[in-house]
Amino acid sequence: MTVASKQETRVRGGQADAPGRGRPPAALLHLAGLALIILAWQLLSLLSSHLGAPLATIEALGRGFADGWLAEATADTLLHVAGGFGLALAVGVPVGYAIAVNDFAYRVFDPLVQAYGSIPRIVFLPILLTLFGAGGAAKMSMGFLAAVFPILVNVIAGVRTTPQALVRLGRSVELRPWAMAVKIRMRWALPLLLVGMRLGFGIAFVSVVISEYFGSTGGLGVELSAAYAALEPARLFAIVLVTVIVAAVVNTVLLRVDRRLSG
Amino acid sequence: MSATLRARRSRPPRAGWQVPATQAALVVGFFALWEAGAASGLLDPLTWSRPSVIVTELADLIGTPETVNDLAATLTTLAAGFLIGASVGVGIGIAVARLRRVQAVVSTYLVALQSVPLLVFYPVLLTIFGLNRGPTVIVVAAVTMVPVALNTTAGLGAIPRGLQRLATSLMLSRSAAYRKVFLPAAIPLIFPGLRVGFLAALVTTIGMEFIVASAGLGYRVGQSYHTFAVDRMYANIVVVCVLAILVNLVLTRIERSLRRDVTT
Repeated sequence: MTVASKQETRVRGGQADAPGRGRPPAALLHLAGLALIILAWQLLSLLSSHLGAPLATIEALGRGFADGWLAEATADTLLHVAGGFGLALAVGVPVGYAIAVNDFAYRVFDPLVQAYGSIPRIVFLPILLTLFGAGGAAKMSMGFLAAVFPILVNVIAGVRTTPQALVRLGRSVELRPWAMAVKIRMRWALPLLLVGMRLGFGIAFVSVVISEYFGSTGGLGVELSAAYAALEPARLFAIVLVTVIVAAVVNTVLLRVDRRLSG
Repeated sequence: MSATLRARRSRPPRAGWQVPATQAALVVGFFALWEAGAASGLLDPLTWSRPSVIVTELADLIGTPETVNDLAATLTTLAAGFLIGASVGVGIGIAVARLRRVQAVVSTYLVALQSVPLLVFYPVLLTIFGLNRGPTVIVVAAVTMVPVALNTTAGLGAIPRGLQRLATSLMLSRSAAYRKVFLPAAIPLIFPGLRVGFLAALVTTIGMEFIVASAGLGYRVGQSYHTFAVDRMYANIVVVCVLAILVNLVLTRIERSLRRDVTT
């Protein structure tokens, strides 16, 4: 009995608590988290000479950008990620929409899309390399193959969950199919499309870097393998740091957009 | 009334066989086009190979000690990485669910970790562990851990108040409450995390093998590319695809049966 009532007050107390009172502010916790990560990194780098220490990494980062190669490699990679990602959007949204609005098409294609999604796309890289050579087209198509799946899946899920009431509303004001798609179904699916874009950009980015590592003419992956081969941990860490920062920035931007849209 | 309603709702738009028939036609058509293109010389055999050749190559491949070794290497790496990642993930998920104070912040980090290209860390791991399976297992575990942890936290957060009261009124110890009440109740939500984690683990295992390993299915694809064995390369790709699709089918089946247990 006493245990139960104690539980009760604890839960109720937690609910009544005003946000910001009693618990530390989020910004402070984030700062603490970041400090903890840097501290752990510093300690680990003291243990092993194979790890670039935080300061040395920042220095290598600055030197890389000052000498130009790091900015060049980042631009090269991002350009191809953007290309593949844009293509995936251009293909994934209309195709996903077409699959989702037709019940028969959905039942035929959804299992095929799921099956495609479970395949490790990286195994297609050799095919792309024999097709396009080691230039930009191969890694751009790799980015496309990776990004198109989450975009497809989320567009399909978003469009399929459009409330019937909204669809009927659209029909009652006699929207044309195009307006129905843009104003009703895709508007409803937008938050999920953003999720798909976020996931899609993430894997497109990794896939392009991996493709570059496997064989390419330039980009972060090439620099990564060069730094690894040259046994320069600080340079290696600087490149890894760039990829982490790029991923974090894009992720945050898309999350912000998502939050603003959903109110 | 209810009969007509049910009849209207369950009336399939097409007969049941039409969906699998269309799917089969699509797949067969794809390979037929491919074969025709290769036979007519439109598709360069050195780039595209050809389905009939790939099939004979596949038949050669299956059962050879090399394939068996590769399969064993891939599956053991996958299993090790997945098991470590899933256990750590469930542990972190429980911890985060209980530490309400930091829950929001830690969850943000976990979501952010999902977007970090973890695979990019392998050269760092390679310099530490050397060219063995260590780096692969660690990256696979990290990739598995994130969705499992997020879903565990979500699953534990969604436990009905009634079950919490039940655990308290039975005076279960904390660990017993988790083992007997909370975790079983959260399984329908944890399982999708395990499924996503397993698929991510498979993709990562193959990817890591592709770039760094000296054995495994992913390695074999890359190696046949480097030796210009185009037909062999396609056959190896088919093996990976079939494995992935089978894994996905099994996991979907399990998930569906778990959900049915919950809803009825």
